[in-house]
Amino acid sequence: MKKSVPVMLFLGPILALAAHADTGAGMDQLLSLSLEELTATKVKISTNTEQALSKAPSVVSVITAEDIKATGAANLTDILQSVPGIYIRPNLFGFRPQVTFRGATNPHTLLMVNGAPIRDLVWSSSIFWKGLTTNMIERVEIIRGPGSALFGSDASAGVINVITKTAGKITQSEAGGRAGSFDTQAGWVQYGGGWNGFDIAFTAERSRTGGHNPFIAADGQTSMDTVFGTHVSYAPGNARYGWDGTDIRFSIGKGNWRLLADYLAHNNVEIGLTGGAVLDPLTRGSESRSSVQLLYSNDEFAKDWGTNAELRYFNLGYTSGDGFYERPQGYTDATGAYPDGFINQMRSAERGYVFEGSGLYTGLKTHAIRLGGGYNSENLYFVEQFINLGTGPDGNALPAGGPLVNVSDTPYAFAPEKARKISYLFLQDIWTLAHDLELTAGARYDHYSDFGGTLNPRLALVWQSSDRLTTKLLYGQAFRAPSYLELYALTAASSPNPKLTPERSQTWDLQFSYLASKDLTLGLDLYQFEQSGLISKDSSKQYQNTGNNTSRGIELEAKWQASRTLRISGNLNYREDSTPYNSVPGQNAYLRADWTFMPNWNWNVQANWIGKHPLPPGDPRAPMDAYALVDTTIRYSHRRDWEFAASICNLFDEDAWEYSSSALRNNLPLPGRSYYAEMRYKF
Amino acid sequence: MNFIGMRRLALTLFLLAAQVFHGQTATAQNMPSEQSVRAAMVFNFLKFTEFPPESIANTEQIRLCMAVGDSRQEEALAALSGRKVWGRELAVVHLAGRGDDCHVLYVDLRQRWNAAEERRTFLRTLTISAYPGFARDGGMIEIALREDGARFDINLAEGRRAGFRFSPQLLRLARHVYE
Repeated sequence: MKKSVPVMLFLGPILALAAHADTGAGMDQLLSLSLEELTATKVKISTNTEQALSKAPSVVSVITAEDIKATGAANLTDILQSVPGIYIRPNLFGFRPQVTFRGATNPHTLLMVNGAPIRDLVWSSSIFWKGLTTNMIERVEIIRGPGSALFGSDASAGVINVITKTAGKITQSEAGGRAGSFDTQAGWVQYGGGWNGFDIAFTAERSRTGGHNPFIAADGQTSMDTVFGTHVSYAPGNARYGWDGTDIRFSIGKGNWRLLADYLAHNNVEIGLTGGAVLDPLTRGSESRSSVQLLYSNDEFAKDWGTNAELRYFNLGYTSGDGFYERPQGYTDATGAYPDGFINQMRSAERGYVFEGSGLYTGLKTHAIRLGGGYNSENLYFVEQFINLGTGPDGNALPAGGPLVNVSDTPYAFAPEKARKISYLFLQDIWTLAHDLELTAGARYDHYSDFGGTLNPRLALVWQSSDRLTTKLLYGQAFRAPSYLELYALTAASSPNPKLTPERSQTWDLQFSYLASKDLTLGLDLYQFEQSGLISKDSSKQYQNTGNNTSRGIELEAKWQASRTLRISGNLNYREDSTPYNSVPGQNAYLRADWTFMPNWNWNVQANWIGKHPLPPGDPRAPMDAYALVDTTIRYSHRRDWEFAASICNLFDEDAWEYSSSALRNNLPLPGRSYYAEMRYKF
Repeated sequence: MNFIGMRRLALTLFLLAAQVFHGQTATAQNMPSEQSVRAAMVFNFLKFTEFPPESIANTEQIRLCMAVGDSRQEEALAALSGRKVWGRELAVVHLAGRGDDCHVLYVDLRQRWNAAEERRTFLRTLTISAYPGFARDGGMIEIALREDGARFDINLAEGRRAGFRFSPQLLRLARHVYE
């Protein structure tokens, strides 16, 4: 009962003060203005409609900055779990919170920030992916289902576009700080203003955390210790997941032009467990990404024409530091003894530029035709690897216990220094057949310099079936381009296949959206998601396009404004896969309540119920139980000056695990109960 | 200070601050969104426009039909539901069928307006949109949002033809009035 005392202290006074009060919603206020006052009201015009995913009819969910603050989400992946169809899957290496849709793996999610994909040539999202901090997020748009007809590769099971607070969007500057469990601290500033007729925005955040450091009873080295009579495993011990983060964004805009410059870095990244599920407390990795984007958007470029154009340059790089320590010091196997352990030092860097332009023609009466194209040049220009175990630069096995050897620029390095060029064209028409019926047809053709071309069409029919019911029938094809790892890299664990073709998918969605009353909206989505040519290793560890899977599912959602001050929403997800291929739970549910019990206050409670993880055939471990994680956040927000919030995550300290390597006897433990408090000052 | 102490301190500061700031009146959001401003303007247009008597004589409801693709615009318009205009309750629905029972029609894009026009047999509907050129295309009230405020144009000829009477205050605040 000791643990619940702080909880009561926290909730008690709030409950005592609670009263059903009228808050004066934003709309009430606007409607209380006279027409004269209304015409003088300054309005936030969205200047980046070119990046709005909801341009074309799709199954879209939107997360606003208000949702993020209400639920206390400090990381994008914290709040993405609440979206139907999404499952966040932490990976044992660095506890990377991978974003998956509808049972598919992380590479089948296209994640973009302001229209720019976060992905690199070797790994699908970065090697030290840690999600994104939320303070600079204006809005997140999520499409369930295929998006390759507009966005190209990886948009197979879902697309996410994070829109940040760029020039013209920050109306109040602020500085804030956050502290909490696991030795977590963060500080940030946001500034919005003008200069010589230009809008300027600047956001910066620094954060650090010690990580939740789960206890690992036995790891990938434990069994080797048993076989070879060594005692070098760090298990039983804790997987350390600490890291520091930096996120700096600057933007300037005027009229139809905007310039965005971003810098993101993760430093002192503790990986916890290696890819082989071996505890590695010594590695400190780091990565950095920077990009510059020039955007042009003009809805009235010429008669009946609107245009959008983007020019972007990016640069990213990472290093494993003195690590990775794939096996601890004193490691012994059939090839001999390694007093220094198995060390694998990896460094790489990429850079590239992208140009894309598109035009929207509305000269034909009932059509809106968008056509465009782009050119993408990505270059993995630097690869460096030093190893002391495995294949050396001459193709022979390295001697046991020998020094680190440079295998850079050999076929045995983890990736080749190589460029990839992508050219693409897309066309889409939204044809308004009748005022209650709209047909969207589109396709995109991508040509990759290394493996050829792929054409991906989509169709969407949107029917206003009645004054309350909207029906959407959607079909789309999508693809995932093979990575450099799959195409070119010869490693100890896999051999490449330069003849790989893209993984393909096709998805059918039937969605209903029903306005049951002005306070209640319901949604139902039935889908079939077929994947073919999935790339996996065969018995000789070579990558092949051999996998297939068909997933069918139901996503049910509801939003209920129960009273002026109480809003409840939730979703239920049920899915069946033809092959138990990914161990993503087939059932999960989400429930959220927001109660504005006093003016300027909000009390949020949310619960994620995660169903059992299906174990792949042959996995000897005990079945994984379902679990429910409950979080709560109380927020106070004054119009000017101060905002305060306090959160408890995993309120009931539920034991929960993520499915992971079979070398981990108990899978991967998720964090227990944790506390956070934050404050912001607006000026 | 250890973590337990820090936590208690944070909680205390938090509650103290709350006491100090308690009692402030309504939350003012940051700048309102374009969708809410459009919806608020639609509501005002209804307040200042006289409907042709025969179209609202036998009904307790004024039906506002919307044909929009943006879910946030839908939500903003739906928030007008239940409010009173001309002694009648406003009902906000999606445009379906021929829309013969719509007293007010809000469309967001030219192609939706064209599609609606082709099928239209209902001629006593107040038509409102925010796309540039709506008034020229035969719409009655066109909203134009600028960062420093909202403007609107009125197509008086179309309005008169359908039997609507715009109040002098509305005409005075309009940017352009087309006769």
